Amino acid sequence: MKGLTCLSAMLVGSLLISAPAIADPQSDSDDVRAFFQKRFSNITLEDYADGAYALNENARMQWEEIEEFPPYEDAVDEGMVLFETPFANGKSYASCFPNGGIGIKQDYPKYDIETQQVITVEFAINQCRTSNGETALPYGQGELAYVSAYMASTSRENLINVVIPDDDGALAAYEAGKKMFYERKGQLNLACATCHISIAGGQLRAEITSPALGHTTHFPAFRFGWDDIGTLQKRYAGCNKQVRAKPFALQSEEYRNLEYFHTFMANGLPLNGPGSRK
Amino acid sequence: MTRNKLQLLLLLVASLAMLTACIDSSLANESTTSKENEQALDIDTLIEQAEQALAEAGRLGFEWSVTSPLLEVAHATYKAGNHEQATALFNEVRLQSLLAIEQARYADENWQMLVPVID
Repeated sequence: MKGLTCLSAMLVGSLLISAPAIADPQSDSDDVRAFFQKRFSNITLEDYADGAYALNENARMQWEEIEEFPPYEDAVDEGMVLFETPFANGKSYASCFPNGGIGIKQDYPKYDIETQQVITVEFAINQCRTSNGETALPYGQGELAYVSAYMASTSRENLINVVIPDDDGALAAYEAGKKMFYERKGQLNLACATCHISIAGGQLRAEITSPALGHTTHFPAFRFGWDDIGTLQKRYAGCNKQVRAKPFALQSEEYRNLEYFHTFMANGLPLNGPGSRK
Repeated sequence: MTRNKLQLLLLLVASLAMLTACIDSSLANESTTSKENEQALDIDTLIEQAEQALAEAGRLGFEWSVTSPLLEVAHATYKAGNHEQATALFNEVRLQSLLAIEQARYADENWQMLVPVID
């Protein structure tokens, strides 16, 4: 009897220890929201779409002034022209996406059960190009980011609705992205979570560290440091470099999984991209 | 005759001294060559170890961004003939890579520690 009790205790103990690794995505999302709600009790869930500007009135006022003459406007216009220009075979980007590619960004990243991989908007744009006989565009910035920025602009105010299907591969991709978010990397030994959860709202030099919740609402974004529109994964690579970790290739499996987890956390937040950031 | 014997003895001593000096010099040269070979062998092994460790850190997805550029500097220094500095640089590459590998192992076991805990 005593042995059975011990065995039960060990079993329960092992389940408790491994609980975080097998937590379900909705529970993860609830926990992250509860954490931030407790830390920043004076802001609403929707406010997280504004990133660090939701946390500091002065920075917010400056940002709102900038948004009156959006620095990304030209990129969106150029993206629209590129989006509507037919490929050599007569088809266009619209032929590759649901609803002709208009107002659909809130559903990305998606998990494609057939190919067992995460599909981001930028990945889908290049899939569209290659399946129509066009060359793939470089990821990160330039024409691909402009097309993505245009598609994001048509989805403004739509609520993020990333779905994790009941599929082992989808859950594994989500878990891989989650693990990457919490792993310490680089010579500085920092994780995404260090800056954007543990010390979110604090300061690194003159910058306020933004909360992870809501990061994905406003990309592609015009960053003054880039002097151009860039994609979320370009920012991932930049963050990796800042902690002196070798970045992964843009749209690599690693970054797509990370974006899957990261965006799922923001489900229900309104899209407000493209946005401008310092 | 005695004078001739003395001259012969002096010649013999001088020859022996020269012979000894030559042997010493030869041995010294051999020793230097041997040390150089040993050093060359060591640095080759070190380069191999550094590159293997760096590749493993990369395979794990934990390579540091500063390590590959350092490896390039180490190779350039070695080619320029500054073996002492090159050895130090290759050693730094190896150590950084080993730390990155250890970081990957630690992250794999402890990444949950940064997941927010709700009271």
